[in-house]
Amino acid sequence: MNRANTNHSISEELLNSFIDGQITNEERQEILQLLEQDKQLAAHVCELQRIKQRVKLAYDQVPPSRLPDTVIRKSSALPRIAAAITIFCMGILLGVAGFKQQATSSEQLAATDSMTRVLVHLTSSDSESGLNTLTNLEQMLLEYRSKGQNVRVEVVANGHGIDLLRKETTPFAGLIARLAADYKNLSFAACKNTIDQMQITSDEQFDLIPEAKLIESGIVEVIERQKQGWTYIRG
Amino acid sequence: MVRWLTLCVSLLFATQIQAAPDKILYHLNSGRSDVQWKTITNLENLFLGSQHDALDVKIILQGYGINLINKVNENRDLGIRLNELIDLGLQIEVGRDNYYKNRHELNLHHPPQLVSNIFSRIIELQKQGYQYVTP
Repeated sequence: MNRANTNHSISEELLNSFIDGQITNEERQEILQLLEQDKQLAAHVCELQRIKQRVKLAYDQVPPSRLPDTVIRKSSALPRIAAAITIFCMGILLGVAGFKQQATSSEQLAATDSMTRVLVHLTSSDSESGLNTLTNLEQMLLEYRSKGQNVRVEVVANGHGIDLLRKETTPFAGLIARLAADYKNLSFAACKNTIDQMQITSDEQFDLIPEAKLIESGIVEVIERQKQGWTYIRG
Repeated sequence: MVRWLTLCVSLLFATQIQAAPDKILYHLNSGRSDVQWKTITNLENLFLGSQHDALDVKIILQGYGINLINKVNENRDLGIRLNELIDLGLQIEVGRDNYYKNRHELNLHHPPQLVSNIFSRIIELQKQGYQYVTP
């Protein structure tokens, strides 16, 4: 197609420009004269014109693309904004769901385990504080009993708290005996490690009150009970 | 890029929602002056070390622990520091039976809440997720 027309001093480029109407009037006049004289050239021009028309026709009927819109409209920000909003909302919903789950987990735990377990830790020999603890303990046991709720309480004494469970030193032997008799869900324990470390002379008497059982280590008991889900209260 | 940025912001927002306030239950049952001052200092440090709105702090006064509020009228320094803590969000709870008779005259920015049973209240709060602390 790019070849020059050898019979006449007219190039293919000029012929194409003629067909496209992109030449001057003088050039057009000259080419028209040549076409009248040269039938072969006229046929060639007709062929060129026919090819151009067919190409034009073919590209006028371009079929729709099979690619998705998101690829074609790459410059559009709308899908990105929609995706961002979706992710943002998902984030909020996940956060709210997590918060609600966290808030209700303790209630669910309480619901599944109706028994309340409490460890009261005695570390002081102060009689006023001991009396206050035992008084509050009894009020609590009464409240649970009146509501028909299950509760189990263990009073663990170590350090100076041992004095409150020691027969020779406690002012609350009678009160503890009464509480232990009234509430079968209440028990008392004394730390053996503490007793072993107490410098008790041979002429000294050391006895625990009968309601107190001896446990190896008070602090280990406190830790283990908390691991098991018991509620801890410092007496 | 926009999506990644938004994702990060969303996750951050979700984390903020999920970060429920720290719930602290401070149990004071001692009337000793040194223990009570230690309690005030502990609570001040607690609020100083955290964002105030991220804390839910209750102090339960049992037995002689009630001296903490009974002395606010006579001890100016104690009154100022305790009221500052109340302004920061500290909630005081005391046993109904143990409450000071002249409670209406106490110089507290917010009156204490009265509870019928201290131990039951401590159990209830721990079940609600409060971290139990003693001085």
